[in-house]
Order: sequence, then structure tokens, then C-alpha cells
Amino acid sequence: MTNDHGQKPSHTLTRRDLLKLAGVGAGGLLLRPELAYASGEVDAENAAAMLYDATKCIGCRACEVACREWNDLPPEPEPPSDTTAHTWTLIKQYQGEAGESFRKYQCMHCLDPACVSVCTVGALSKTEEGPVVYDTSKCIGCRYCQYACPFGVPKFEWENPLGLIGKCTFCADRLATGLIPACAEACPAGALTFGTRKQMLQEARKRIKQNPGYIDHVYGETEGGGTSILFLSDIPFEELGFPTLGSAPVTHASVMVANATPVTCVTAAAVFSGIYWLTKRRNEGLKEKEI
Amino acid sequence: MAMTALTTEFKKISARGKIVLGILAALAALGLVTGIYRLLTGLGATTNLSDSYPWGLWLGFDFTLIAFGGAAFTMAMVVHLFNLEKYESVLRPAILTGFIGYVSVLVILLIDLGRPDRFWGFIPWANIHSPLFEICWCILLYTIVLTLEIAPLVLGRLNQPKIVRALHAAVIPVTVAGVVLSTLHQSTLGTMYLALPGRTHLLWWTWLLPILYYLSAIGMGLSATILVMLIGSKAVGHEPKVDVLAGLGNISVWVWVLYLVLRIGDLLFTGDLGAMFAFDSKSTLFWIEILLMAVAPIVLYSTSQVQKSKSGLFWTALIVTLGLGFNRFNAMFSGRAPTNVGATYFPTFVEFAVQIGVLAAAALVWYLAARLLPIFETGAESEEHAAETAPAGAS
Repeated sequence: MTNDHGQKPSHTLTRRDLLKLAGVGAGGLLLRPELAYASGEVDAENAAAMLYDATKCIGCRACEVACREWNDLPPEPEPPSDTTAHTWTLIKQYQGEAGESFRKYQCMHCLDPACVSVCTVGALSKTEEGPVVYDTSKCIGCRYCQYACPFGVPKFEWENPLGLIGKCTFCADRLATGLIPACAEACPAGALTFGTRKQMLQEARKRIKQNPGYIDHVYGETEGGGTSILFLSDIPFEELGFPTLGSAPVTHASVMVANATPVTCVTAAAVFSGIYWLTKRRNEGLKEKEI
Repeated sequence: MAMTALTTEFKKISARGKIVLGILAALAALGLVTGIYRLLTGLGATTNLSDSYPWGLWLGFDFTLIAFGGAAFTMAMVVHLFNLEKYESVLRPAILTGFIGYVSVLVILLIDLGRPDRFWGFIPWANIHSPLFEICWCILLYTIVLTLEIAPLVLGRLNQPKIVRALHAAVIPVTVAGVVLSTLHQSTLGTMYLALPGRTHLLWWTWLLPILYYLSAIGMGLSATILVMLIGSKAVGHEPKVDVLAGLGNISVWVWVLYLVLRIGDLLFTGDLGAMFAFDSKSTLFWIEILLMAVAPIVLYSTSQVQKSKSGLFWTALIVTLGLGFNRFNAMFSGRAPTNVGATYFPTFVEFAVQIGVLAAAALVWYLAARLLPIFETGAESEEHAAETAPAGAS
């Protein structure tokens, strides 16, 4: 179960999963389960990625400023404590038992994004170049993306009577013209490195090898099927508020069931028509007996 | 003598009924005004929804109401597909409930959408992986099916025998379509949560969610029919057949037994049974939900005293409804970790007012429809009436 890029399998079915599947198999859920991994079609390793090294971040917030400027985001009335529909990236300071650190919040640009998977109208999509982009002209404002994103990234314009979602675009428009993301360009401390995912993972592993102070894990390498934004830190990722995720794409179960819809539909139609036919015959039989 | 007793009882009900109807109309009007206010000023100005709680009271109620409206497909299935003729007398009230329930769901969805001006977006733009996309389509198509099922009653009153006959001829394919569409979207409501495994507490996340949501919609549909029959027939002055309603309760016992076996069996199977007995806030909510929604109907509907008593059936069906609402709200709120740990949500006045307004309007429309249409007749009885060309209500 390795893919074209010799990557670790993003998800291995355990015995428990298999047995559970067998239980629901009657509904046709075993139909083409490989379709659950839409990202298989995207050459993720050679697509755009970014590495954020928390140990290098000085918390200057130049990235926030550059992001707001490039994306023409309106200023916030008060400094927000979390990303919002108009603040797509944010540096937060962590102070705790494990020490001190900064953390950059932004869209993780998952390889198999939950938001893309659940979006009712396909307003969100993962591009081949790497970014997860949002088509403002399609969004109906159902906010399922907010509900499903494991990182809580998509934010809604609550104050707008015709509100839309706001989130980091990985500066898809800049990437298209050969520029690197505005935040990466603005960072004066070398905390943000831009390149292909393969390069970023190599770079991250090199740094871990060279400096034993790092936590021996690149967050985003496998989480939720992998992300395009990768993280290095000297403080445990859970401490910094990163969710603990398995290596399967978050929505692999719902996609598997959704893919089985045609089978469920045909099966249900056949079963209910069959029941009608049988019970009608039974009733006719009973009536004949009465006569 | 029976005639005078009926007349006096009718007068008694309509006197109190006027007050009830007045209150319902006032609540509906308040809902309309607050709903328009919400549409004009936005979600942030009128609700306590936030980036941590993007879904709130309205969607919690929608999930509950869709299961309650399951009365229509459940009874259509029982009467037309299982050919259990005994239950024909409750078919029309159940279909009316489904129709009004689904229209209410659509109204609330529209008010909840961030872009209500683009409510039609799922028609031109498709994402076949999205459970919500499937639900949107199923609800749209199923509402059309419900309209076809309710249309003969209205058209019969409007003297359109040809169309009524055509609809009557199509009843089986229409019923199959309705049952298939319901099977899909009732189960897909469960699939919606399959998309958030990490965020959902393990007591509310299992691969079986689609099946559990489907089964509970059938169980709810049976109890919803009992509840609506008892309230509706009292309001309209009709005597329901208690043995028929008890029979529905009996069917639902088997549905809930299967539900419990699957839900508890799944926890046993995955080795997560301990979470049930953690007796923290989550497991307490789980127990309340399981006891009200599944255990109570299994025990109560099997009791002979309940089977013979209208109030016994009424309270049991009400308990099931509360339990199911609890289940749907638990899955949406308590079972799910918010993005911001520690964030909370409680609905605003506007959220309550809109929700109550829609429910009041639904009750009002149900009552008026039951007064004006031959809801408490079976198809055969209506045909007899038409043949006699006697004015309705004369006896």
C-alpha cells in the first residue's frame, strides 16, 4: 500500500476497520474504497509547500502585515485572538511548562482537505499546485467546512448579512506568477521556508538531525493524510494546540459512504419494490383463501 | 344524541382552540418578523453562532425535524409497500406531517444559510463527495414527492378527479421514490458526522452512524405518527383507533431493539464500552438519550396498559421525541469538540423566536389542513364520499 511517490501509506485498514466495514458492507460500502483518497491524483510531493520552524520565529508579525496587505484584507477593529474571515494568519505566543514558543496559525492546505470533501457546492478545491482555494461566487454559506475542518481554519464573515468564508489561499495568485507566498517573503527570521513538499520534508528532517532540541516529528507529514504546511517545534505539538490526527484523511469514512450512494439507491429501490410485490401477493393469497 | 354530543364537544374545543390558534398565530408572526430581521442584518447581529459554533439551534432542530417528518415515509412504507392495510387510517396525517415538517426544515435552512440569496447553489454546482450535497438534493426531490402525495387531497376538494386518478395510479412508484430518497438522506444525516472523526466524541462516532440515523428516523416516524394522531385528532374532534396506534408502537419496539443492539454492540465490538460507564458529562448525556429515545419505547409500548391508553401512548411518543431531539442535539453540540477549547454557545432571543415561530406556523397549517382536507379519512373512504357527492362532515 505505497503510492507513486513511495510515501508511507496514508491509511492502512486495521482489522477493526475491516470488521466495521464488513458490518456496513450490506449497504454497498465496499464499493471502490480507493476513491476515498482523492489526493492520489495530485502529485503532492512536487507541489508547493511551506515549512514553519517555530524555533526560528521571533513573533514580529511581519507575516501578518504582509498577508493583510497582499490580500487586501480590511483592518480588524481590535487585535483578534484567533484568525478570522479577515485575518488569515496569526502568530500566537505560547508560554507553559514546556517553555516558550510562537506558533503561526493559517490554513494547513491539507493534501486531502476535509473542507473540500464536505463543501456542498464545491466552492473549495485543492489545486494541483498545492493551495486549497475558495471560489467566492459559489459559496452558499452552509458553513459545513467550518464544522468539518480539524484545524478550525475556515472563518465566516458573521457581521456581513451576505457573509462568505475567509481563509488563507497560500497566495495562489502569487504562486501562479512565480512569486512565493507574501508571508514567507516577509519573514525576516527565516522561520518560513517555501519549496516543494519533498524539499520541505527533507529540510525538516535535516534540521531535526542537526539539532536534537527539536521534537522528532514534522507536524503535517502524515496528519490527516498530510498537509502542505509543515511544522517544526521544540515544544510538543499538542502543547501548542495542534490536534492529534491519524494518518487517514479526516473524511475518508464519509467519502466512502458517499461513494456508495448509487449502490444504496439501487439496492433500496430493489428491496422496497420486492417487498411491495411480496406483500401484495401475500394479501391476495389471504383474500383468495377467505373466498 | 351522538350528534349533539359531537356538537357540544366541537364547541368546547373550538372555544379553547381559538385561544390556542391565536397564540400560534402570534408566535408565527413574531417568527416572521425576527426571521426577516435576521435576513436583513446578518447572522452575527442576530445569533450567537460563531467560528467555534458555526451551527446552532436552527440546525439542531432541522436534524430533529427531518427525523420527525420521517413519519411520512415510514407510514407510506408500512401501508403501501408492506401492504399493512390496518394502518391506512394514519397514513394521511403522517404524510401531512412530513410535508409540513419538510417545508419548515427548508424555511429554517434558508434562514440559517450565510448566503440565502444562493440557496439554489447545489443545483448548478455539485460536489458528489459532500453528504450535505446529497441531503440537499434528496430533500428537494422528497419535498416534491410529498407534494405529489398530498396533492390528491387538495385536488379532490377542488373537483379535479382526472388528476387525482392519475396520481392515484402512480402511488406505488411515487411511494418507492419517496422511501428511497428518505433512506438516502435520513442515513446521510449520520454520514455528515462521519466526516469529523477527530472532533466527535466516540459515543457519537461510529461507522454505523448512517444506519443508526436511518433506524432512529423510522422509530421516530412511528412515534411522530402516534403523537400527531393523538394531538391532531383531539384538536379536530376525531376519535383515533387506539389499537392502530398501539400497533405502530409495537412495530417501533423492534426498530429500537435493533437500534440498541447495533449501537451498544458497536461499542462492545470496538472496545469502547467503557466510555458508556465513565459517568462523566458525556456518558450522562449518552444515557439520557438512550433511555428516552430507545429504552423507554421498548418498555412502555410493550406494556398492555400503555397499549390501551391514549395518554400512555401520548406520553411514550413524547418521550421518544424528546430523546431523539436530545440525540440529534448531542451529536451536534455535546459530542463535538469546538475549535476553541472552552468556547460555549447559547441561542439568542432571535434564534428562539424564529425557531418557535416556524414550529407554531407548522402547527397552525397542520390544524387548518386537517380542518379543510379529508385528513382523517382513508383513500377508500374518500372515494365513497365522492360517490355519494355528500358534503363533507355530514353524517
